[in-house]
Amino acid sequence: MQKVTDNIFLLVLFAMIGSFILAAAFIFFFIRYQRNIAKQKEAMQKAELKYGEELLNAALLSQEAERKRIGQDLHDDVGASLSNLKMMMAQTDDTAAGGKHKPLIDNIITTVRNISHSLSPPGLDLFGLEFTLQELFDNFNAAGIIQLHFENEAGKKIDALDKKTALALFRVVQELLSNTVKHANAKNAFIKFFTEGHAIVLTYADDGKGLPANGNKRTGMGMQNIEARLRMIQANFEMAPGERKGFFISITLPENNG
Amino acid sequence: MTSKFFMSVLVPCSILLPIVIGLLKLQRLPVNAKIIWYYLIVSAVISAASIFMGRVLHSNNMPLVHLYTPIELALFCWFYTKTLWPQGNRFLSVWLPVLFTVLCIINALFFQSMYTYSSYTRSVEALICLILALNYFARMAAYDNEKKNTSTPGLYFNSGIFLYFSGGFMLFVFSNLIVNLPHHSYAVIFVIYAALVLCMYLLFAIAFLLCKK
Repeated sequence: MQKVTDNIFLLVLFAMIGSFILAAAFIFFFIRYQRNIAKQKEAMQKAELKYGEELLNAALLSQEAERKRIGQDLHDDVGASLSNLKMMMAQTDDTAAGGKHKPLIDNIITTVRNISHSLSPPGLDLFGLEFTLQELFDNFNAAGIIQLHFENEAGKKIDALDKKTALALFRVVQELLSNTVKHANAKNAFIKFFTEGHAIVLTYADDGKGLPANGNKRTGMGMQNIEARLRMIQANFEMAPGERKGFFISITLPENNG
Repeated sequence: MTSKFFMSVLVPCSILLPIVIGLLKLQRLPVNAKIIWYYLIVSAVISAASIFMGRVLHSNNMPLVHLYTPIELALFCWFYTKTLWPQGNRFLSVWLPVLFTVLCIINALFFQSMYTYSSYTRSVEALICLILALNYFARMAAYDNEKKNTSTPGLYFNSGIFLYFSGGFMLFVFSNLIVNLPHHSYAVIFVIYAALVLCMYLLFAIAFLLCKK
């Protein structure tokens, strides 16, 4: 009788422990399997994101190269031809047209130069970002649509930025100004460079109507273009209503830049 | 003495841990977590009544096991309905508990007296719960968010139920034979069973901590 009793005890004991171990192992391997799959998916998503960013970078770089080529062609070919035409006109009698040809040609030359400079700012390579931005702001101020206030507390650091970063920042400021003029109904815009530790920070603010109240900050091609260019140079940015209730963006460049 | 303290004091009191954590977050608990919390309350009340009947009144507390079995299954069926079929599952939430209750009544009337352990119905209940727990794992494996899967409170609730019933199943099957064993053998098996219960309560406590509405 004792033997039978012991057997039942051992059988129940082994069965209980055995099924517990099996169940615990099942849960352990299930969780491990799920985590491995999650890791693989995360790696795949990262790779896809990286590939997307590389494609975007390549598209932006080729866009810049194309802009530069068109800008140079306009400046060198069309601009030179117009200058020749102007010289030829100077040698002929313009009175027949009531002296209207020369101002017209001057106007075309100025327009072509402006388009050429906007497509590919030549000052960026020669004089740096500060000069190029100042030139851009002078043009806007001269047009009288908006008053731009530019401050550079970062000194020569912004001219030491690498070409890719400087061009991206120039395009971002260009796009921001364009947005302000088109949509914000602002009278003033404030552009400021300063340093925070080793990082360079650019703030842009206007006194216009600000972002839409629905909180959708990322509508339109212009904003997408800004985001894409900032991602390309790995800059952090934050958009918020500014002190003047208008639009405000703060862009922080990575510390190793420049 | 140590095993007696473990079985009679530590494990019964350990139910307070998930109950207190659940109570602190009761308003923010999702419906399925609230059902587990109700299960713990029912379990604690029946466990206290069982101790009172056994230790104080020195009477047979097996009728409470007969009463507890269909209630426990109904609560777990309700939990799995809310977790796996949020749109509702009439068979699992209504018909299965009703049929099982009828089975428990028939068992108590004709097969296993109210004053003996209801090993048949406890075993059937364990099998149903094991199938439901495996169903939960199968659905999680098919669900396309593996990262979320491993941190969801549902996984801990389900693991607690799965571990408890897989370990306890053999005990439920052979429980009426085990009572005839010498006291030391009987005690060893019930220490293991108490450890399973403790394990389930700890997993429930973790699940409540992870709960976010």
